[in-house]
Amino acid sequence: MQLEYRHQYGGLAPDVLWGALFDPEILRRAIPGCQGLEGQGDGAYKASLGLNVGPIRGGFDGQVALSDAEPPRRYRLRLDGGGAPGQVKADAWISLEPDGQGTSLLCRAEVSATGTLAAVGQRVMGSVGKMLVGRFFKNIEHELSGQRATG
Amino acid sequence: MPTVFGTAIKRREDPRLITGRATYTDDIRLPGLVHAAILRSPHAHARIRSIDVEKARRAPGVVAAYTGRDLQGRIGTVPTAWLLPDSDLKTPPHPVLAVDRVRYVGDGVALVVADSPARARDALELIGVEYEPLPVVVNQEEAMQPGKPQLHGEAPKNVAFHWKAGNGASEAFQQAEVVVRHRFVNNRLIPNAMEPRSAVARYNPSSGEMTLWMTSQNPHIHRYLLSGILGIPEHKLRVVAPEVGGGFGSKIACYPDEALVAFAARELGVPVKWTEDRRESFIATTHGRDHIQDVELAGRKDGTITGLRATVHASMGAYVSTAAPGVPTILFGLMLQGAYRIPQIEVDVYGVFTNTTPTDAYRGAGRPEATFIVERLVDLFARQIGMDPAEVRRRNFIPANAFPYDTPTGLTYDSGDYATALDKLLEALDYPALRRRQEELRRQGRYLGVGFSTYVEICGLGPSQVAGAVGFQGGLWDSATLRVLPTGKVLVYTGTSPHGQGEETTFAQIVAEALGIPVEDVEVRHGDTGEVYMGWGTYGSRTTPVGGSAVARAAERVVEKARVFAAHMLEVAQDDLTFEEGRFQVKGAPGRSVSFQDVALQAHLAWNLPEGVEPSLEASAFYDPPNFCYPFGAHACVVEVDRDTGEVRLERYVAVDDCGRIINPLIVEGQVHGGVVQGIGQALWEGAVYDENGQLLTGSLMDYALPKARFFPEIETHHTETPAPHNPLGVKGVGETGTIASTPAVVNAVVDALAPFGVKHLETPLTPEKVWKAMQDGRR
Repeated sequence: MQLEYRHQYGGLAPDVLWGALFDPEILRRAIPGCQGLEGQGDGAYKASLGLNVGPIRGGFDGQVALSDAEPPRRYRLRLDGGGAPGQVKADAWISLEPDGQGTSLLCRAEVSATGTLAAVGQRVMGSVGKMLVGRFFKNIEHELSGQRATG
Repeated sequence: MPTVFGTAIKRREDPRLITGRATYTDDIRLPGLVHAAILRSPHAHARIRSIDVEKARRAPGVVAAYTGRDLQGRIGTVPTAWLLPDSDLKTPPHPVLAVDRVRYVGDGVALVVADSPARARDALELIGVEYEPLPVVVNQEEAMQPGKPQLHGEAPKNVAFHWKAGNGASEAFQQAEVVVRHRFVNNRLIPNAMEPRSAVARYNPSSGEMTLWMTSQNPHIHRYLLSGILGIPEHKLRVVAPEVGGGFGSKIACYPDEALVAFAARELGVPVKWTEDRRESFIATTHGRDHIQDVELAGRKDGTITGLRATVHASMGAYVSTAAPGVPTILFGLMLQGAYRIPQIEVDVYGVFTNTTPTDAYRGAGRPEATFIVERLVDLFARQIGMDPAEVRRRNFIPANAFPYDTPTGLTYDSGDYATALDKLLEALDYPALRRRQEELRRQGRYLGVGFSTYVEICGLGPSQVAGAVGFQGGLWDSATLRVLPTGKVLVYTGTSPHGQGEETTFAQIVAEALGIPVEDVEVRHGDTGEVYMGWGTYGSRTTPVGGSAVARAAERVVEKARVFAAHMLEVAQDDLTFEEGRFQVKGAPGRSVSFQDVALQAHLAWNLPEGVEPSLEASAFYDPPNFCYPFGAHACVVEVDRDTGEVRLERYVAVDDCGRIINPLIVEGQVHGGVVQGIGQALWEGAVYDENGQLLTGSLMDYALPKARFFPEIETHHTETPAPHNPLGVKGVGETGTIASTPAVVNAVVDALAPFGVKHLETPLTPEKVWKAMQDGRR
């Protein structure tokens, strides 16, 4: 399944944003439902999430890998994780374009799932996924503007 | 007393069913009951590296947890019970829990038992399974290609069987003036009985007796098979089907899950219950259909059909389910001549393993897939030669004077009058006016279509001798016992296991008619191997033709015995008695008579019995039919396609069915309605979709579209009555006819509506998107 998400950051230049997107502390606060994020070096992280969005409910554990970084323009994010509702694999490219004083961020991901996640996927995953990704990028904005993440 | 046979009395089952007072398996509460939940594979194909159930075992309320390895050597595998001969059928072992490999999403991996259903389900989340995903194949044709994942070592190229039938059709195709070739995909369906599967098991360690309540269409078959899996002697195993909320074929099969529940009850010494949830049902209960059909029809320009050939790839799913091999072969391939005198038929069927939920019988089972081919091909042929589709059908019908008719596939159609059914249909439709209206609307840019389906089907399964010849591992006779009580009330025990079809009413009508007693005086019992000696269950529209015939025979025997008592009571010879309207009457002596109730009482009091006659009034019959039944009919659907949205609106649906003599017109009408709706479900809405990883994308009722009442016009039903010549009641089955007939009728109607766009065929389900695209392509 293809997932595409765009976010406009007014007043945040790509290099400022870039720093935040690679800062484990900020990531931990910004990732929706994040209960733990453990750096393993080389852009690899061990993450655990607790989610409760419609039928997608429960604990997820997984690996996150950030790679192919071309600061401050684009990078690749791969996710492989799972929990009771099923397993998810995502392969995303995130690109940052200067947009006036700010940045236009585009996230394009190929997502595959198993279990309940797949069974309800066609209908729910797109919207739930988009919502979670959206929340993440908004949280980054909050972090950078000094506000608490809404988590 | 009015004749009850043929009377539209209301179903006696309904008050309890529609007021919530029926007892289904999940309603059963037993002291000390614990609850099972089954962990199912999220992968369509994977090696199991390890399973860790320790955390689950320690979870709150958990009583036990088992993996496939824990069960090895302690419980058997799930058998296939239709061993198709001359097909090299492979039936790889189907363990009750996967041991080192899972083969479909839904394959059972572990069992947890806890003090509540919620805690059992919660504990499933604590089981750690390390899977090593393997390549997946979901399409049956791809599965046979080189280099594709192999599901079972014993089935090279994933071929479960290759089966052929017919008398060869190459001559017909060599000499054909017209050949119509097509590929049809008969899409996979998910039965979705309103009640999901459920089981409750109770074991008594001191007596060694196991009682298993379960959602079953055939409790005696389940007892027979589960006795083997569990190693419990058959006489110590009682299988009870309480109220069953629909089956449509999905409750015929023997699944791993009910065996697991019984196993756990015996291990733990407490009663265990398991009930599937809806999402689980989508992946763990058998699916239906799923054929890829390459077909061709040979004919002449004058409209004569001379031959039909089909090569079919039928998906078995990951394992060969109980009756699965018989469905795309015997119940499908032998019916490919449909209602027509087609002299040459040739059919090749491959049953193929794929990483999907196993398939098995689903309402119609094989006959809808056959009827779809024949009825679509006839329409394509009609269009190619420029002849009206109703006319092509009429020209090719097996004529009424040709019955019994031997088909080129080796069946003998019992009786029929196909042209009369079509005449009745055309009249009900006002066909010429309909065509004129279609023309008129087309000029206005509106698209009306008319589609026919003149079907015949094989049911009333069936002669046991034939069952043996085609590899069915059971008999297909059935039993009835009538117990007359001292007050003349009657208990009827049938070996069939109705679960929504209304036989508690129709069988009471058969008995009331035969004994001349009020229908209220008859009670019908079924579904309990502890009450009923033996029977083969309810499927294949066999309950009334086979089970009902057994009831009729047993009733005749009761009358014979009652006549002995009556003659003694009236002090006349038996031949001097007539039996009418419930009274034994001395011929030519008005006033000298006894009622059936008088006789029943004397038979039980036994104060003054005839010489050598034993007390009581009970009789049994074991009826094995000499042939199948072949109901038939003519259906038509009128649709209008919305030119802007592609939505298909059902304007009219007219069904003319002939199921032989009708016992209860109301019940027959209900069966036709339900069947038609289910068949239209396939035509317009229903379809299981797997992604390339074997994940079921249509895994909930939000994603799998079932028909809803508001989608339908009033279904118009008509009948002709051509009695079955070989059973005592003259009845044929009607439980599946609607499903068999309606799918092609609707598709034919939509394709007819889309003729101005050059559309020749669309694959089911005909979703608005598909129809709209076809119109767009046609506009270009």
